[in-house]
Amino acid sequence: MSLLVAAEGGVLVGKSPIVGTATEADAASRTLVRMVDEVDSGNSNALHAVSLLRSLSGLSVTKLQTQIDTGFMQGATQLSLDLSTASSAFAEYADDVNRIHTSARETISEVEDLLMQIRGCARELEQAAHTLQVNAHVHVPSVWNQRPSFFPPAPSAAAEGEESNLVAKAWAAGTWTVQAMSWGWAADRIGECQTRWNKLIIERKESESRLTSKLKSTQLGPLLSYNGANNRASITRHYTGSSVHRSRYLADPLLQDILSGNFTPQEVAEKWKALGLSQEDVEKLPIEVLFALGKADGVPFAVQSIAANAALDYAIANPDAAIRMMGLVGDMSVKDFVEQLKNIRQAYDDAEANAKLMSGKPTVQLFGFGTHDGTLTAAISLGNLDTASHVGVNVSGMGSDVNGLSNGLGGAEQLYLEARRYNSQASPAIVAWIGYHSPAMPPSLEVTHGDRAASGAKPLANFLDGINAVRTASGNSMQEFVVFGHSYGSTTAAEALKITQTRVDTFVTYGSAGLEKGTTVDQLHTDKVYATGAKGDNVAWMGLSGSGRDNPVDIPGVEEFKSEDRGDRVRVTAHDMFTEDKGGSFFNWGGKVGYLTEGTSSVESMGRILGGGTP
Amino acid sequence: MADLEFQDAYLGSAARLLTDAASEIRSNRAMPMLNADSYTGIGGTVGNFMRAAGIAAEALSDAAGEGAASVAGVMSASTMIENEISQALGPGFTN
Repeated sequence: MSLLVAAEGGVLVGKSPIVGTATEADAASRTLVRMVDEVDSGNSNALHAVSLLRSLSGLSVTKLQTQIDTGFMQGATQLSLDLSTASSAFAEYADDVNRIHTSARETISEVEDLLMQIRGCARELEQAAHTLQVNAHVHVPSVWNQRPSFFPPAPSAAAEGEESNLVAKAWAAGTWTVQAMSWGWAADRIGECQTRWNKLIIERKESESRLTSKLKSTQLGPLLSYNGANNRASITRHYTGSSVHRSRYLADPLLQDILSGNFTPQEVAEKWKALGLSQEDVEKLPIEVLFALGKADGVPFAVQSIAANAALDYAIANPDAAIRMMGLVGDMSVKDFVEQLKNIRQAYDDAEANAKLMSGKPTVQLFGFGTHDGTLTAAISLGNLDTASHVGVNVSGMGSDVNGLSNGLGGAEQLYLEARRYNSQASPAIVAWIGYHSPAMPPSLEVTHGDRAASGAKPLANFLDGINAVRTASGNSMQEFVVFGHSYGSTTAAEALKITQTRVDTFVTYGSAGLEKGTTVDQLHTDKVYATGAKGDNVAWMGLSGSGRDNPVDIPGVEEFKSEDRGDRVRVTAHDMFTEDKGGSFFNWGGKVGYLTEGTSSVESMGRILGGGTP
Repeated sequence: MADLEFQDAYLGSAARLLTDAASEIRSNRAMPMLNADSYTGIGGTVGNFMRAAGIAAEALSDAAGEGAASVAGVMSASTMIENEISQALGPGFTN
């Protein structure tokens, strides 16, 4: 008999429904009941307080009544309802789990007993076969559900001829039938146990589904849809309203200065340091402040990321209010606004999930969530921008917008991996920066003009200065600071590097749409400039011809590196920043290979530069 | 003067009631089911709900505390009640 176990890969197939404990769910239910009692008691106190205030007159007292009513009592009433719903759901779930676990354990025990019975039958049948002088391996099944025949096997010819032991043989034949029947009965019972087991699995799944459905039906449910329970700002706002729950820091002149937009990133970094807000303090700030902090150059990127994530989640949940708050009414429809917001969220969530599988498990940060010239902006870093040893900022080109963040992050991942391959000690951070209104795709001629680059240069310069300011304020210097510019992004980046306060280590252009005519290396606040343009790039010429701009490879002092075949590295055959599936696109006629595509000579060179080396 | 004392008495009582409300709701309890095992992988959703419930309660507690501070702020003699609030809820509510 090869069958020795009842559950988990044995007779009872499928994952066991015995998972977790009912005690835990029951504890959750009881905790929520206590919370309901506390909230109800607090609400009763507040009602009493309001009735006292009603005895008094005056505008300030009336405002207090409104504050307590809208800022506390309405939220408390709602939270009490939500927690009661959840408490009942957990109690039902605990009952279900308890019943399912009990029944499943009984089923396992019953199957184990029945298997033991079948093993006993098998031993008896083998003994009978021996007495009947037949081959037990042929007549006694080796698995539980291959039932033996009720009729005993005919004795062998040799046994037939023997006159002796006739009684023993008759007894063996009788034993055979009894044991075969017992085996069959046990097998039938095991079949019933299997049916019951499968039903318990279904019931367990249904019970879990019921629990989550009920939790999501509360007003906390939709608030959990994006960014989980980290959505402190949205939760706070939902239950208390923004008019009441204001942090004491709001009145602080340092915060007011930071939010004013009148200070340089260096000054903002110093003021933030002096302000000394904790992560919890930041999470409690009103959503309007979080919108501003999520793109405040000079504020630490961990803080910007908390604020930008909260602002993004708020905008997804409240698009009509958010589009007004961000000043984009008339620039795009609410539908397009929501679609772009969701694409930012998707790009961030995917990057976080992917980062957990990457070497070094880089932190993912969101910042720069705002607007520029009527478009949405956002930047996502693969790596901790507050602490990374090697920092790269990748500026996207023509036709780029936040919908392309996922693609930009695909390229960022390859840069990150190549930098680590070259320098295993490096902890890189590479930013996919979509921080400006890029020129539209052909047939528009925007790409031949410098307006978009000039306009985009300002936020990019502030962003680069912001990185340096944060790192200087924290005393955490970078080993390497590199700006990458793809296509028209190189045009924009060059204009930015002419006005930054910060000097970067290296500027790299790839597939450049050209730098403004007369640009010299000395004008750019960088120590080194590299450039590459692939022979297979079928689009870069559009930006160069007719614009009057200079090809960076022709500018004195710029060092060129190739994007062609190099041993085991493949050549770039398209203009794309990054292609994963090598599928065709406007930029990728025939489905070819982009500059940051895995395995290209160009991404290897750029990774080496980011890692502190040369192409 | 008598009117002001009468008003302060009412405001003081209201502030104390709101302070009690804030204290009652703010209990630093350990939440169960934050990382619960499950059959279908609902542990994350369930844990997030429990965390969010705690955050919501904390936010309401803060709101009640701030309400108490606001009430104390309109009293003609508010120092004593502000001190009481500060002792009950910690610094930050009476700034």
